[in-house]
Amino acid sequence: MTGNLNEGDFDESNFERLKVERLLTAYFDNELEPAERGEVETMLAENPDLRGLLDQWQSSGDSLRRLPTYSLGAEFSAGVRSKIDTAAVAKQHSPAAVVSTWDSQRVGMGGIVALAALLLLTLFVFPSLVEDRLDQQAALVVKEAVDRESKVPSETPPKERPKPIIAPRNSSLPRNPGRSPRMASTGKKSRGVEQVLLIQNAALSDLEAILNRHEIHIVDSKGKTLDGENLLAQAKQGMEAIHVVSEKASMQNAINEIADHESVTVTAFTMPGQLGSRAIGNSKSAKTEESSALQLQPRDFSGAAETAREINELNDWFKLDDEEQGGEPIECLLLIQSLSQ
Amino acid sequence: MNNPRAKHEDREWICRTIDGDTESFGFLVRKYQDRLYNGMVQILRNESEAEDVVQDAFVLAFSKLDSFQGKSAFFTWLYRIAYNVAITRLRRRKRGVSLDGDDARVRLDFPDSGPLPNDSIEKQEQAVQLYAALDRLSGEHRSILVLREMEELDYDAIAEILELPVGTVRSRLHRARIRLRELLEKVMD
Repeated sequence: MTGNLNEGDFDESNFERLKVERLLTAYFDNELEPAERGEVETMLAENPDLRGLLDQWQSSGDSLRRLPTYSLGAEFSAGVRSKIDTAAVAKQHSPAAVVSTWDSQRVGMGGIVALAALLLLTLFVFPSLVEDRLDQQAALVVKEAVDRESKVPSETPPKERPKPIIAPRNSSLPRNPGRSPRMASTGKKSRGVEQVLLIQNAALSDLEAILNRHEIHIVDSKGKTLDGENLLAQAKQGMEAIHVVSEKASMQNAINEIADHESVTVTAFTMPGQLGSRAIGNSKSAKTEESSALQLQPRDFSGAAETAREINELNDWFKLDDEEQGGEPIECLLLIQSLSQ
Repeated sequence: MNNPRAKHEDREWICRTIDGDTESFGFLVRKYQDRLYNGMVQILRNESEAEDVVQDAFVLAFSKLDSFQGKSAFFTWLYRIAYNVAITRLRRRKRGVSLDGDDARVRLDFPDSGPLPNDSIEKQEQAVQLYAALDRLSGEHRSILVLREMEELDYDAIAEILELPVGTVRSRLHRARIRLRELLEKVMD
């Protein structure tokens, strides 16, 4: 085995490989519990090449820490002060303003907790009133409500976006008529795209409508469609995955529509190449079990043009390999994460 | 990061600032300016832009200080602000570059302090190679390596700054380290 775990050195499934990657990295960074450390140490004893990999990482890390450091002059703080004075932001810190802000935060959190309680009540007391997928979406919102942190201020104010194309939950809009399973017909190997959406205050019905319209199913790490209870358990770990197989353009359309919703912030894109080599462990089972449902259809969302452009620009900057671009079928792991990580 | 005394000290300055003693904010600026600047330089690979980002981050932090709840370290919160500002700048840079057709990535020079004259030729050469590899690393890989290897933040803090689940932090760190080794091998050839 060489040091490059991304090149398919393991015989285990891709999911197992991802698990090993994460274990090994956390072991190296001393972020594992004792039981997990024992598991990794057994693995290292059985595979000396992995030990060599850790030595390489140690060497790289040491080199990074030895790099010369940059510093600002003593006058820098005066510049900050001057800018603060110029912006006249100091006046926002009168005691009354502070009290008012903290009061409003308490009201805000109270509202969120109340919403979470209502959703939990709906999920567990009146389960028959909601569909499975609605349960899943609710869990996302519950997770967000429970763990929300204060939002970090952004440099720029929120943009005015065109009104999103959102169908009501029980819309009669056709849902991808004439779908065709492209993956099966092309026979090309899928590649990975990982995208992370931060869901701020996504309205349950709106998000559900988008996902339904694009036939996006929420699955667990093994490709199995989750019920509400399982999703809640996973939500506590801070991450949910929406696993789909699609052409890039199709996936982009779905992302654009979600991103275009005023309550959703899209960040942290990882482009083809990032997951391309490690793939996604659930791909095989998901394709087998849900092949028809995992397909997305291209849609024209002209209102999302600006969002799409920004997404592409950010994607371009983050992407590693130009050759990963193209219209071939790609496998996507769409991570939906609450803002409060 | 997790030093309780430092956290308490920060909290004191924050409270005083909120109470109207704006001079107290100056202590926070002086305490963290270089550390934040160093991180932003590595992420942006541009000293001038990094200085602007750090200044903007402090101004933003001051204006929103009352929303800081103290659940995380002040520096983590501050770094997250700066990181968001930096990402916005990178997007603008990319947009401008796409119009001009220039290379988006800029090369970063060594700071005035280094490489140190007393360093061996070999060490200086290693530093040059490392800079070249960092220049070629993707933004997200460079960011996470800076946070872990240079800032030595724990996974929870990295997850908060990058707004990622801890599991993603682990796997991204793994890939970033692999990629850095690959690039180092390339630049050494």
